[in-house]
Amino acid sequence: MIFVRELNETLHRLLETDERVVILGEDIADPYGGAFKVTRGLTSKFPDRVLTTPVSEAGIVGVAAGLAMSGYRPIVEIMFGDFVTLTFDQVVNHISKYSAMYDGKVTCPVIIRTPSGGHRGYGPTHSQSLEKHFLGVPHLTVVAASPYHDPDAILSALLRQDEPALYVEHKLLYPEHVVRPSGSRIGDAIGREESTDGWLPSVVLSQVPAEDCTVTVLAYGYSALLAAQALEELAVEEEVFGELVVPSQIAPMDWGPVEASVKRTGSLLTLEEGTADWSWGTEAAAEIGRRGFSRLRRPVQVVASQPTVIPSSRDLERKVLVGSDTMKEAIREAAA
Amino acid sequence: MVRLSAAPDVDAVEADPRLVGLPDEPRDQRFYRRMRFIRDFEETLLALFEEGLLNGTTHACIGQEADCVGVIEHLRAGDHIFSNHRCHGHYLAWSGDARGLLAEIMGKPEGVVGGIGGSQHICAPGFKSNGILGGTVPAAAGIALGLKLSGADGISVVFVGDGAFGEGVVYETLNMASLWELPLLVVVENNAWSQSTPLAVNFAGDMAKRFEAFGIPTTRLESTDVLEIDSEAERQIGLVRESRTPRAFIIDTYRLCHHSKSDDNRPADEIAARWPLEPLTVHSARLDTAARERIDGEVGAALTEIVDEARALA
Amino acid sequence: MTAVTVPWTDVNDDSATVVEWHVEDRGEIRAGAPLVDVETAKSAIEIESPADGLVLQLVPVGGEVSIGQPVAHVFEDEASLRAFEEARAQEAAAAPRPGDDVRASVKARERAQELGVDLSTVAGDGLITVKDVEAAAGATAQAPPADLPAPLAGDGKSKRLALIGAGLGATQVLDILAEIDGAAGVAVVDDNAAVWGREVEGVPVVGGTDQLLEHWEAKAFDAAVIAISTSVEARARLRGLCRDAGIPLENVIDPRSKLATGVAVGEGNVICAFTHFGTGTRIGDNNFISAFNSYDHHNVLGSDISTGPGCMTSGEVTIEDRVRLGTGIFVEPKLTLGEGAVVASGAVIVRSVPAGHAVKTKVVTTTVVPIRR
Repeated sequence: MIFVRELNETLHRLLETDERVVILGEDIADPYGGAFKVTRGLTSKFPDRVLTTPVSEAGIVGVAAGLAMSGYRPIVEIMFGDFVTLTFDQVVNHISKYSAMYDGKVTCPVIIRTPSGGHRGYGPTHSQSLEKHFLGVPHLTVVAASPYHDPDAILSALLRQDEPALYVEHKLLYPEHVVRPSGSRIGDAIGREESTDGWLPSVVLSQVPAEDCTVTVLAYGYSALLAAQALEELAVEEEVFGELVVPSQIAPMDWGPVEASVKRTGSLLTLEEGTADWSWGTEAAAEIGRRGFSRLRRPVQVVASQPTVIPSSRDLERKVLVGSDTMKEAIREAAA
Repeated sequence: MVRLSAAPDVDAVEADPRLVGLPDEPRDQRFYRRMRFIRDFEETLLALFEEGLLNGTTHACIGQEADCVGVIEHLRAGDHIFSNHRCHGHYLAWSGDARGLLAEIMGKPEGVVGGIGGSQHICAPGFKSNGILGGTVPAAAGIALGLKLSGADGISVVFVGDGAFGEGVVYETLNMASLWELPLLVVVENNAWSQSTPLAVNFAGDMAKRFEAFGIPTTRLESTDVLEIDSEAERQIGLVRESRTPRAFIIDTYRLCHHSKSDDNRPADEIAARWPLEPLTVHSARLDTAARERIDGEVGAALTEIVDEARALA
Repeated sequence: MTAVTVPWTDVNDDSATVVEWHVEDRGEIRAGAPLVDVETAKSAIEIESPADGLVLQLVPVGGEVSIGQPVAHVFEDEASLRAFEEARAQEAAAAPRPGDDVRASVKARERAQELGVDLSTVAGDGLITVKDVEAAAGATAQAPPADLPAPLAGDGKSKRLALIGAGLGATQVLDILAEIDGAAGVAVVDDNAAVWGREVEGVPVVGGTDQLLEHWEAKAFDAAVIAISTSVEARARLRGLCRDAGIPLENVIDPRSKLATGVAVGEGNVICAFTHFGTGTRIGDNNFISAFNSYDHHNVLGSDISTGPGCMTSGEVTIEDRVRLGTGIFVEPKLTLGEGAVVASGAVIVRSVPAGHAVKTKVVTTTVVPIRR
């Protein structure tokens, strides 16, 4: 089943089985069912707990804060990841602080879901990956959808935790099939889930056994899909072998699987669609640079998009965003 | 759940009747006592700051005691109050917890939230406050929505000042509260000054009309008389309880103390002119001297005990 | 419905990439109008529509289409287009899933072919790699089969030559040698074990590179010639191998070629019939020059070059190492074809070609129609 369908069915199931769940979002009502159709059918089936809202990102996230502190489990859709900036105060100064500053007397477990990312020519304010700016907000979990992580498992896990979360869904994942680990395989590749106790799982995959890999590629979301394709092509065409680590939770991070992989390969390359510098990858470089210092044979390579606006023109967009060609070139170098 | 302090879990606060009202006390005395409690607490706080005993900053509500006492008189368990940076009066009127609040402002584990939140960030059953202007309003609306969804009969009240009208999220919330018919009461304590800025420089148009633009019925009362405020508050709160729809209650009042500490540049004669009109002066005229002095003494004694206890905290 | 297929223009290519569609999917087109541009490794091809009608694109821009397979269909009308699509959808739904194709890297496939290994028998976790193939080959192949033939003894007077490469190039070399006194082929070697034991024009294929080196040690031949006609990489690699082993390379020059005065020739060159080298021209080592080539005066040719028939240069042209020329190419005077350049058939070179570049020619398809009276 394609990702958007799985997500829709997950939301149906959650509303059905957990009466605390309330969904808020703009234009989510039937028959439209949301800008990306993720919420199709929900307002018809659960009219009291699925609310379509005015265009008020700060307001609806704030309302969700109040609901969460009253014992509900609100899930707020922010229509485009580019608009999360409008929620920043509510997330940073309210939602993520309430439990800690009130010394644990309340919890505020708001889940914010948002479609993000480019490669569709939507232009500078509808193509960004702004989760970057929420990394490192204390008490906020940032999770990225990927083709290898079951959205039902992820959202269920987020509902079991007390802390608020931002769940970023790259738009280009919606038509992709979710590929679950099966035996020791993920699709055609050798792969498995790996996690440190209590963390949401990462997925580790490679075309050949890990000991033959000469680079660890760390990527999340749609970049992970592109990376998997690039790694497959490099393996088949050039016998360049890398191990791909795809976390679901990107902040705070379970570094265990990355560290273990780097110990085998001796080289780390990070990939992200967000803009370069002061990013997820630079954090990984610092952390793995410290943990894997003696095992790294070369500096950690961080690959991210150009630090400028994302053009609408397809050719220009391709030059700004991290894409397959950039990835292959970087992987080749990091694997050498 | 995040526990940063080493505080032990505390059972429900036992409020001292000398501070919150004796059983079967006549209403006028009760109101006087409760306002005196808040006034003395705030003045004590400011004195303790001078002593160097307190941590951080604070925003006292001297001059606005009638709002706190008059409105909260009509709220009960099941309701919820969201206050702002100037929350002491609201908190004390609601819970009577002088001990917890003082310890909190002293940064002690025995504080309401373990010393983590301090003066502006309080959380207790039915009560929260946050120091981001306007940002509290949507949370209060969310709490109202929660009450509506659960079918409970409580209401959600949010206290804001005139300064909060600058924040866009306030209007986003008023729009939704009206659209979704939320049991929310917005109480505006318009004390004519937002920190150092007078209303005329901050505020265009008519305050009541801003609410009415969203279809929210609004009542405006210019008063520092606790009985007037009490009477109107009873009506407003009753209407919200009954209709389960939002309303606004604007109280035109005046702040007699600094915004926080050592930051008052308002004209001295303007302030001086307001002292004779302040709530305790207005209301104490209704009591005979003996009763007033007795109550002053009881409140003073109770607070002294609390301060001594607080000083003794490690 | 008319199928539009990609014409076969290069013996080395088996697929083409779609570069640009000139009509949108399901759009209308007239016969003879440009339909789509495709590109092979050597040429860009513009394909015209064979008929009037509606176009169904079968391959997107950037996609690959095999030579001989349709890149589009042209339908007379909407109805037949839809009927085709329905039928195709039903077929796809009904068709059984193809059996597991073995997943292997490109290098592994090549190596498997070289070593004669059946990929489906190779054990490997995940993608099959060269390492896996070599391990499998190593497991089975130990000492070479005892029944490999020995080189011919020779007539005792002629130089005994070992030919490297058992393909059609070897037949050309042996054909030239048939006209030459003083040299003869006594053995052929090829790393494709499948051909070991066969004969090429009566000369036995005695094994692979290992056997070449063995027979050299045993002095079973006097010199080698690399008989691979087209792959410049293979020629260069094998020349290095022979140099390292100390095996001299012999020129094999057809007596019907003309080398003018002052022409200097290196070693190991194969020069076919009716080839002309003008005065002052220098030729390096290990080049394979096809028939009817002409290098006019004062040309400089490097080493490991391969040319097709009918290539002609003017004076003072330089052709650097490992250049590959197709068929029927003309080169204007004083130009340089840089190292490793590849030139498509039919090109007319009017300016120098930098190293590592390809010269592509645009070929418009020709159609055959009956003459109307």
